[in-house]
Amino acid sequence: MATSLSPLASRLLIGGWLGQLLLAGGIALVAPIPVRPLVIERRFCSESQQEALLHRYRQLVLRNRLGIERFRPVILYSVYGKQEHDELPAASALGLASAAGDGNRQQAAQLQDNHPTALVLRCQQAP
Amino acid sequence: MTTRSLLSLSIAAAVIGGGVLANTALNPPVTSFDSSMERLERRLLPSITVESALTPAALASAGAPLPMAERLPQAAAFPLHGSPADGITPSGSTLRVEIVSSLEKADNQRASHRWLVDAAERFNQRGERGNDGRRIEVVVRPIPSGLAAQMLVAGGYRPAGYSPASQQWLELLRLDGITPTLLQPSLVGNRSVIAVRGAAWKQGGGGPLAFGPVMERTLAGQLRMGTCNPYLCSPGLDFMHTLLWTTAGHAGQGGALQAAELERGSIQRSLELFQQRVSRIDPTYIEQIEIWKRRPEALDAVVMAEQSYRQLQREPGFGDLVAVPFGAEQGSPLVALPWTTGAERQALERFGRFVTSSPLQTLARSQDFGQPSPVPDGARPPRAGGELLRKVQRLWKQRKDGGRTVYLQLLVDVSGSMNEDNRLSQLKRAVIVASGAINSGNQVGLISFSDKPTRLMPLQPYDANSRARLLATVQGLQANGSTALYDGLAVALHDLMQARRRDPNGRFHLLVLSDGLATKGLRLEDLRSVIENSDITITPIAYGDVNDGELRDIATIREGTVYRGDPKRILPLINDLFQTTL
Repeated sequence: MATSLSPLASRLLIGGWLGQLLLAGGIALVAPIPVRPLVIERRFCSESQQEALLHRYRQLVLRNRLGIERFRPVILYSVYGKQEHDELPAASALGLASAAGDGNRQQAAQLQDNHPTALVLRCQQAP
Repeated sequence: MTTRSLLSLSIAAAVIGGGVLANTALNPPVTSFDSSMERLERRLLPSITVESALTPAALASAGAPLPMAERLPQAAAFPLHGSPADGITPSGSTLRVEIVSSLEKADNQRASHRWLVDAAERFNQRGERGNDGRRIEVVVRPIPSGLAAQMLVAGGYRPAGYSPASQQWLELLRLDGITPTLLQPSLVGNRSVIAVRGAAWKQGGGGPLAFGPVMERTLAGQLRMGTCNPYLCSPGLDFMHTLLWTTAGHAGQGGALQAAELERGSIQRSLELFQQRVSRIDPTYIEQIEIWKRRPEALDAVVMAEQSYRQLQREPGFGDLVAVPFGAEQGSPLVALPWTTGAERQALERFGRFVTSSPLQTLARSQDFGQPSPVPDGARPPRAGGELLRKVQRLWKQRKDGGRTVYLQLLVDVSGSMNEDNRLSQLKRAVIVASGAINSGNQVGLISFSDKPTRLMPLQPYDANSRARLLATVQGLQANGSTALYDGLAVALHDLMQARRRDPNGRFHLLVLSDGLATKGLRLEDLRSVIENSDITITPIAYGDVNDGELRDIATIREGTVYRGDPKRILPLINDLFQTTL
């Protein structure tokens, strides 16, 4: 049997929700959206590894769109060189299907030093 | 205008229009692979009588591999330059010293590629004498570096000196048990580059032009690149070594490429991916330069020697060409060989000093050798030893097709004129030898033509059985009759196009060898649009002293090039083409 709330309890509940929403909005206004660099290693990966990496990347794109987190700069590197973007490129522009070579360890270490807070995406292990 | 005139005009227009419509209905335009196939099957093949003469399996047992020395051309097949008495045995008062040299500096037929010949002529005019009082005479024989190394290893050819285009060939010689003695580390400055069209690079987004980014764009399908066979072509071997060194992650970290790294799946599959994206692989880059000159938009980048790049840059339409230098320091060394006598060695040392002197180096610069461009660290691997270079060559051969099956249809002219000058017998020998260069799993077929085409061996996967069948079939070839070139071409194209329908990812090649003009059957115009839309790479060989205009026309339709062969040189030519294609 459903219990009905008294008018006072209902008002308190709605007021509480509104209060929480206002508080969240206030925090969002006061505390800026966190921004951090994103480093993506392009190397030869199996198709399933590429898919897994793309899945993680799309999740980041979504977080970026929802304003939960921003990624800047976005650095793509491979044994053939490095590219830097101001914004998240489209997933298709990562060119994972045409990525070749093993990981560039020196570049990875250098990027780690220069961007210690960066989120790093890479295939777990080339086959 | 009277009513009668108007009526006549209307009738005439109707007749012409009707004719055009009827013609269009009977001969619909060929604009695609499918319509090309339809034209072949409905209009062209029904008018051709095709014979079939398959070699019985029982006979298909011939073809024991020839020893190495017999698989290679004789040195006499290549000209000798530098002396007024070229080819004549010198008298006892002359010490003739022969140097086998790479083509970019000893090709007498091209004014810009004959620096070493000029140098030999100038040296000989000085009338220098050896310690024993004999007059020194230096002669130069131009043979591609890789082929010359194979001939030296095989024995039977023993020149006093060897001057390949790069040190890499010396490493390979050492690996094969021949230890050369270095007399001059570098006669002229040269280096490997990727020549890139500036406009194509900008179109792909521009940015710093370097080895890594060029590879990245090629892999992404944004740059159409041509490379050459690393068994034959110095920049091709240099390129493959640098590519693998970079791919294994050494470009940023230094260190040499290790043989064990070539075993890694990631490296092998990366190379396969790269090979899938490469637009053209030819025996040498000379063919690609020819295609580029004819149609500058055919390729965006070609691996070549810097000297060739400098010459090409002056050609109309190539002003925006940019060079990306890469590779280890190679030089263009001069070496003595284990069999070189003391007197010959002294003569070579004198010649070496002469050609590295200031006036001769000035002459070299006038032929675009000059100071090689510096290579950034990221594109300069340490020099590789022979064992590693051999592994690099083998890996290229295994992976060059990028995981795709290659289909090669051989279309061979057996008209009566093939009996002249041992043409047919030398061709048979060439195919038998070159069959050893075919990767198993690829498919090979053979069609001959004279009065009419004859299917001798349908396209079939290459293995020990099909090799035996191919060899027996080739040995059974007999020449007579006229030259129904285009009838043969139509049948060969059709077989390959059927294979393409079954395997759209394959690579399809048609090698046409003919010693004359078509004398009967279809004409080129009947086939032009079919060839255009066939998706088949056609490589004609003009065999013997023939007018190659017709074959050139065939090649041009699909951006190919014509090779010229004669009975003396058909063997290395077919071998090079098989090794590169198959």
